[in-house]
Amino acid sequence: MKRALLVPVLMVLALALFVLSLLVGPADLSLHDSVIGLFAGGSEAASIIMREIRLPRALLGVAIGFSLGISGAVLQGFLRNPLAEPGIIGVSSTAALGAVAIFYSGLAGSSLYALPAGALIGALIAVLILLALAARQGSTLTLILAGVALSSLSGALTSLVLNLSPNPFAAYEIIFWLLGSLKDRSMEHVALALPLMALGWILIAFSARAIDALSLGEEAAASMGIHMGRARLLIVVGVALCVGAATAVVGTIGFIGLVVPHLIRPLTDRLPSSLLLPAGLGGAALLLAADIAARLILAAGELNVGVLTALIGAPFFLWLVTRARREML
Amino acid sequence: MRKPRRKSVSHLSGLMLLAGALLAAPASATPKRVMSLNLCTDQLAMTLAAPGQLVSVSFLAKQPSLSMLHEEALKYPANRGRAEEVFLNDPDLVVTGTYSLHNTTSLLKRLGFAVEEFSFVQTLDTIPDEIRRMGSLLGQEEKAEKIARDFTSEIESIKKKQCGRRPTVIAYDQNGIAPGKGTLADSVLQAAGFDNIAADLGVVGMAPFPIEEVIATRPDVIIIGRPGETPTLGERVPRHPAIAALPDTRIGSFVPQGSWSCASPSVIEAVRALAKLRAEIAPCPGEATQ
Amino acid sequence: MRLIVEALSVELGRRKVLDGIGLDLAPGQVIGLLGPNGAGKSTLMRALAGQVEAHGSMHLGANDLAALAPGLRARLLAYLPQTRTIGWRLTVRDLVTLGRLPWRGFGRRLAEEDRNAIDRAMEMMDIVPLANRIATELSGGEQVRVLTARAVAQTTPLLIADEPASGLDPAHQITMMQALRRIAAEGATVLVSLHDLTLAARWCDQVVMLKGGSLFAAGKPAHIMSDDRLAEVYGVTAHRAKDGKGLILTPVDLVENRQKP
Repeated sequence: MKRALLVPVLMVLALALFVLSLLVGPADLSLHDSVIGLFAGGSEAASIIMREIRLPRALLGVAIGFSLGISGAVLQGFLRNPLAEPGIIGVSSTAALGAVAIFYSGLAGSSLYALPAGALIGALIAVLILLALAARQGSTLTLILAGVALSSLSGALTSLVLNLSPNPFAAYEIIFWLLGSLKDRSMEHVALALPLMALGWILIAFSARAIDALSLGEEAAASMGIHMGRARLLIVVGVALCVGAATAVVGTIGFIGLVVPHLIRPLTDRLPSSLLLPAGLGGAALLLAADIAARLILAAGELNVGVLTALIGAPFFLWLVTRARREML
Repeated sequence: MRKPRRKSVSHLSGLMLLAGALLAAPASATPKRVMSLNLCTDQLAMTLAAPGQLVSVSFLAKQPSLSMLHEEALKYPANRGRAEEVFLNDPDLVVTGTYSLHNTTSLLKRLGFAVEEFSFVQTLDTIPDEIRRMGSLLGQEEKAEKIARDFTSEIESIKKKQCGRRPTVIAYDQNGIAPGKGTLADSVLQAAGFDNIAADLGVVGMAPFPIEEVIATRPDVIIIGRPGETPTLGERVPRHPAIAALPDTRIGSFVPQGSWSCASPSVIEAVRALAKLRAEIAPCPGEATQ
Repeated sequence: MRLIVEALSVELGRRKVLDGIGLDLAPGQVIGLLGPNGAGKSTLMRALAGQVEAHGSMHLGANDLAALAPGLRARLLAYLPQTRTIGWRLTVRDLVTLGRLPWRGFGRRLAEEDRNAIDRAMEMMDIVPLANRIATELSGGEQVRVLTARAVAQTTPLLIADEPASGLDPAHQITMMQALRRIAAEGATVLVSLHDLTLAARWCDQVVMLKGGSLFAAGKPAHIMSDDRLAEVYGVTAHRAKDGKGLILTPVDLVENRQKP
């Protein structure tokens, strides 16, 4: 495939899946009713279903897939490590812990704003810890081990917080936080997460020069005029915004930031900056596809989409780690 | 899909109920120290026990959202259904649910405690017998008989006032779970004069019900749970903006808090409240409309 | 531009790695930085490139190197670090193109000027035939030339290269030194650390010798690279010859062995 075609092709793919996502759901709406419902408004059932249930779900699929894809791509570029991914290195689960700790304690009343606030704090702490540990040494092993420790700790603490909640129903929500879902989200969630994620995308885009220069190591990058402190700040805050906001509204969805950059990198010139936009679009397409599948696989009810991404991602991850590091670059 | 399994469950529990009753019969002496480990046996025991007879109830009995008798429950020490707690209390009768604490129950039986299990598959129809069974276990047969008879006759009189105008309803709770056929809530809705949409669409037991179908079927009434003292995400599902956007649907909690979480005499409160709501939105000829 | 360094000191941890270095390097020259392992060659280069904190003053022309913003410094000074990192499977040409980063705005496409600089750098390092190869799959010597081409493509008045000739085959050692001379001939100051005494003696206009973190000697190779100094700095004796182009120096034995009999 010609490189110039990559972005348009991914855009068309993501758009097609977005439309398909709007057409999938338990209510049996004809194509005609769906289109009319989406654009006409009013209080017809078709209109409420399209605009209040399916549209926010599809929008979140696009935005969160994009955020996870671009976060994986920028982390891999920054750490020169193809295994860096928000889920694997524990950023997502720490974000979930942050959201859970603030929301379920009732500290912020029942305000939904508690979720992104807590998730951003959690994600920020995780990224800072990981960069402190891994950016200096740059060793794959350090990064992955630190990620494993962070993930299991935050997973355990998430379960603990939910079990200790005075509300007996809170414990049922452990599954949502560990294996995210886009089910029954509303425009409230879109309004909550989208601005934060968009800000994250912008910050990440501004780090493009830095991650390119970092291909040649920190010293060479610094000598090429990259302000390392500023680059680190852009990436830390950008990834925390993207992953924090995403996790706050749909729980932990893993592996998208791993699988997508890896599949798309060979189709680019392999400069980390060239991967950002395609990885975002690819992430959007993958999450939309997984979310559509999550609704179709079981005749009754639906799967948590985090289960599906893990089913795709975990074998992929194992395959990656068994290959020599040099080959994967 | 779920249908056959649920059915077998209810057969099984029917057998167990029978077995329990047969076993209980020879236990002649009235127990002096009774301990309840289950929210639903709590309700029955608190209603029927003589002063001092009940020594402990489950911690859930003190939750206003689940237990109609939560104030009454404050009088009793709470337990979390652990075998050690039972051992320390040394009761001469333990009452509990069939499924909730399966391991604890078998352990207690092995330790030689008298354990009576109550099925958790319950409807309005099973309540009078549950009341009588608890009454006979506690040696309170007369009191139980009166409560059971009053209960049955009030349900009868509520049903008599209906004329076939049955508004549609769905009880939509945490995480979009709705009660379908075979549930206590379904029998309450039916008795109060409603058509339960979830049951009509084939839901059996408590099962997730898609919001999209709630919207598509446009029920006249949506009964949603009250928020807990701390928030959960699940309780936001019935408060989804799509549901609020339904123009002609009444949305609210309607039933008194904790009244229909268990098959106990207090379920009558839920039936009364819903019957009143039915009369209000679909009055029969001759029924006063306020 | 003239590079003037005064009283430059660097401490790493509590250890003084460089102590009171003073240099005055005229433009248009290749300056060889000599000294045994641990003498402070790399530290001096890193200090000039702004990679370690240093005391003292460093001026390139009128510019105070220590006070420059990274973006501006990168247009005055290109640096080839000793650690050769190639993070991704980039093609050789894409890698060399990274050298133009300091001259390109955010998201800007390559200008004619950028392309010319890249072509010239690749031609100088004799890597034009490798242009479409994957850099990580090249031999070590080829990678050094590619990475040096990246620094050359930065087209700065000061080029600092840490051991650009090590790991190269004999022909490419000469190509490398020729290329550095061409860059100097166009007016740049080129500072290279070298371990090969003959390369230093024949191709450098000046040599600077470091010993134990201090400046030991500086000047024309023929004056500086005397038997006594080589013995004191490196602890070796060298076989010495001379042809029309300059000195030929080959280390043959350790000093302590000569003094024994």
